[in-house]
Amino acid sequence: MDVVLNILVMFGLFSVGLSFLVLLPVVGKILVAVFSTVLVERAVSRWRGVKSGTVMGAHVVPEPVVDGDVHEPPSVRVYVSVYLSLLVLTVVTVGVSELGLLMREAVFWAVVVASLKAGLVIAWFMHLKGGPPMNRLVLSTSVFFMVIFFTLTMADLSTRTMGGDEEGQWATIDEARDAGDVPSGWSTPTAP
Amino acid sequence: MSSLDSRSPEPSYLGASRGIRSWLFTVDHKRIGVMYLVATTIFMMFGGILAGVLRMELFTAAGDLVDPDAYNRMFTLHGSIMVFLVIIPAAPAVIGNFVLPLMLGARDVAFPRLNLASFHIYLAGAALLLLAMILGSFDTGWTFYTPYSTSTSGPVAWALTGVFILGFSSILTGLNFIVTIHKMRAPGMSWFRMPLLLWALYATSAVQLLATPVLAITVLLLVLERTIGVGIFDPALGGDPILFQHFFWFYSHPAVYIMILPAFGIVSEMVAVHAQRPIFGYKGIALSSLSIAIVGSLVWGHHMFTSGQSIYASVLFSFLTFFVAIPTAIKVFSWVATLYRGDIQITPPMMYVFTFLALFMIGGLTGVVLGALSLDVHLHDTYFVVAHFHYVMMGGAIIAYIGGLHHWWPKIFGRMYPKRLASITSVLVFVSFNMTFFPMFLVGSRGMPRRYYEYIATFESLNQIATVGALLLGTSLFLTLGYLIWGALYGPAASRNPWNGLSLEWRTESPPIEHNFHGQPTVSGGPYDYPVGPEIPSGDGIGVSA
Amino acid sequence: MSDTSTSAQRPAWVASFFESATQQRSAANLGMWLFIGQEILFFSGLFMAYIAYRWLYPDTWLSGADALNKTMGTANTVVLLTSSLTMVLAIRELQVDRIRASIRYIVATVVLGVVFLGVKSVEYAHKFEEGILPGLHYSGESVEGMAGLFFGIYFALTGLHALHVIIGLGLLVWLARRIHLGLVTSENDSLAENIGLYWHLVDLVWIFLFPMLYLVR
Repeated sequence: MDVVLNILVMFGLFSVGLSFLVLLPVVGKILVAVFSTVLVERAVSRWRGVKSGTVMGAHVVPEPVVDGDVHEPPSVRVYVSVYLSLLVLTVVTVGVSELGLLMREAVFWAVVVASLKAGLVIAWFMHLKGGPPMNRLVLSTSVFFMVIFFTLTMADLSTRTMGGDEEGQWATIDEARDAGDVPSGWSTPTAP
Repeated sequence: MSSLDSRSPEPSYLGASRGIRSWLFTVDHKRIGVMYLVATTIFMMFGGILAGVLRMELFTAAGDLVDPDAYNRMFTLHGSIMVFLVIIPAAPAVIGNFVLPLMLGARDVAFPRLNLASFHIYLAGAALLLLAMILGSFDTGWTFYTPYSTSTSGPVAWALTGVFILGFSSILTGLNFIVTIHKMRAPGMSWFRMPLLLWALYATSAVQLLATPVLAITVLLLVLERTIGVGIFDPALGGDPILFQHFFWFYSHPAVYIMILPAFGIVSEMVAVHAQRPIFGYKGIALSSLSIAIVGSLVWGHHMFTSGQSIYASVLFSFLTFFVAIPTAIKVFSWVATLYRGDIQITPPMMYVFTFLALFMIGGLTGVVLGALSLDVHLHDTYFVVAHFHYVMMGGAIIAYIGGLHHWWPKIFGRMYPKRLASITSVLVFVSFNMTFFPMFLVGSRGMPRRYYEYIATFESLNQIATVGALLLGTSLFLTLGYLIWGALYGPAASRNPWNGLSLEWRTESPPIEHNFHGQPTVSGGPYDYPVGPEIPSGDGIGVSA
Repeated sequence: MSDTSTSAQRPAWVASFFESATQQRSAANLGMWLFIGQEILFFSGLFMAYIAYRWLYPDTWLSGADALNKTMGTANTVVLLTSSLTMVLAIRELQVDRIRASIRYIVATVVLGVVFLGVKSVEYAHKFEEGILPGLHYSGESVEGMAGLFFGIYFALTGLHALHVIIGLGLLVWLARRIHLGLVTSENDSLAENIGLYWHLVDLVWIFLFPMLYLVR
């Protein structure tokens, strides 16, 4: 059952990652709002030849153009806020890895943070937010296919040894090798 | 009617410019389609000749014609050429390239130079595959299973690089078609007023775009393993050969949908036009193309039931495999319903529709048989599988493609082929096809393994029937090629709309001018709005106007 | 950016088979996103191999990650994130017609890309010294278990990524030149947008690679 749990966890991880694409407007806005503070204003005003945020801040309201083109790009302040959020998240992800969590939890948080970072880059740097909805469909479909690939393949790899008899049962190849067992169907590994 | 419109002194795309360079560096989608036609036809002949040799060897139970290594190399080459150089490009790149912009009312695809690049990339990939052949060829099977493909000597890496390059041709064509369909539809052509071939090509392009990159990375990893020993799939390093199969079939199963979806689209067009009826269940057929693309990407493990895959995964894949039959059945039922009470014209395209329906039914149903896990354990790697995939790939995809060529030939070349000869030849094709491949179901279910150059004597008589059938099939296909070429060069001039089709490509000249239309055509109704009798619900009523 | 779809003036850079500048720009944008979708699936093969073998050989992964230099990995992450910022600012400057600023930001992006490659080369050099090579050539001593496999995946992933960075640098230099020549402008900015999208994709892949390879715990 440990193995089934593994599959569920993996599927859960990927769903969480995917759902960030959906939840991004909320989460991203919070992050960007957090950083749209005096700090950023000061940093931004030190840049040369910068137009200060005349447009909307965190919101990018697309003009009603036939193809969904955004005429006025997001302000520099938005971009810098996203960047700072990305840096913070990088610190977070390195920090989490130092906490000595269980492998499964560590993987979960790593994927969550990476998805969040990716979501920020995709939404604001790649202009997915406020862009044509078709682009969102293209991205989600690609990610969906990728997730199917991972999930169904792991459904095979992780259930290979399920339901066997107790004698000679092993969960990972590492354990089998440690036990001195060479699993059937595999060639004798020669230590490289 | 003359092929030159009386109000247009403008030459057709065929005569618009001269010289080999005007063809090799053209950005005209029609010329690119014709070049793909020539290339795929040559490669199909080559692959067919290889098949002929295989069948000659199998005429007798003993291995007496070629030695086993040569046999293995030949079926590998036959498979690789047919899959990568013929069937995957044929319907999308030949018919799609030519017809898609015309059907949309556009002047060209969205990225014409990319289209030309796709063609040259295709030639480059083909060249590498053939180079591998010259360098001694390879005998891994077109499926390149590890660990054999990574450890055997021979020019496998060249072949794999060729496949890698061919993949990008496919991806870029798919990309081009998707953008063209999204952005360049004629005014008035909403999504649900598009001809069904366009829905089919859209679904095909989506699969091409999403599945082919995985083949690309797989093939790249194999090349890395062969050349610099980076062994992802090498058991000696702890790798899993079955993981390779997951990688490979994640592309190669959707690849068969790349092959068949455009064929379905072509059949939809031919059924409506040659029965002069609105297609039954337009939305069902349109959306089923998309469903097949999606569901077909969930089932790849059914190629691996006996490979060592976990039994639980096998059960899951078998269960999912059955679902892909549902949207396919929706199509078949809709086509048959369209024919009902239609004004069926016995034209060559309609003959090919009948041939397709019969052969694809057999192929598709035997696919369901193979999808059943318990049956597949016995049938895997037997001739039953060989028969199944030839029925769907050749009896389905290629037959529909040839039918499509017959349907659009007058548009492409402005001349008509001999129709009666074509209809008779199609019957020959049908009979000889069954003669070739039906016995394979029988010997396969009785245990004859595939990819063997010799077999036990009990299977000999059925194999002999198959070989004779193969020779007849080859003859009838050569005959088809012959009268089509004759028609293109010397046939009587064709009218704009010899079949009374209602989609936009029939509104322009045969052959079309370089920029397709004289002005921007607009659409005010569906593409199959044939007038129908009072007892059958009619469509929008008004046809297209240019 | 003006829309010239129905007006008599049709910019020279709009191809003959497109009806309008808007159609051409939106076609280019959709085409690039489709390409990105395809690139995601391309990298997914290597991610799949990673997932499969990490699941099978967790100890090897732990040990292998220790052999990787986390500081350099983190530094490279920051470098690439910054380059993403300069890239998007370059496009913004182009869209408000500040050509020289735009080119300067592109140069900054290229510089950061080169820094990334530099750090990567240093990392690789360290590894080669210790005999850490991919696949069958692995001769290092620090990693237990299926080290050849782990480093095969490590080098394949980072190598393929680095190749994409190199291609990206080439594209950026080309873009800067075209902007300089006035062939890419605030109205005709599809090339810049698309190359920007490509560069962000390169960044995205690294955003996932970094925790997957360096931060295994």
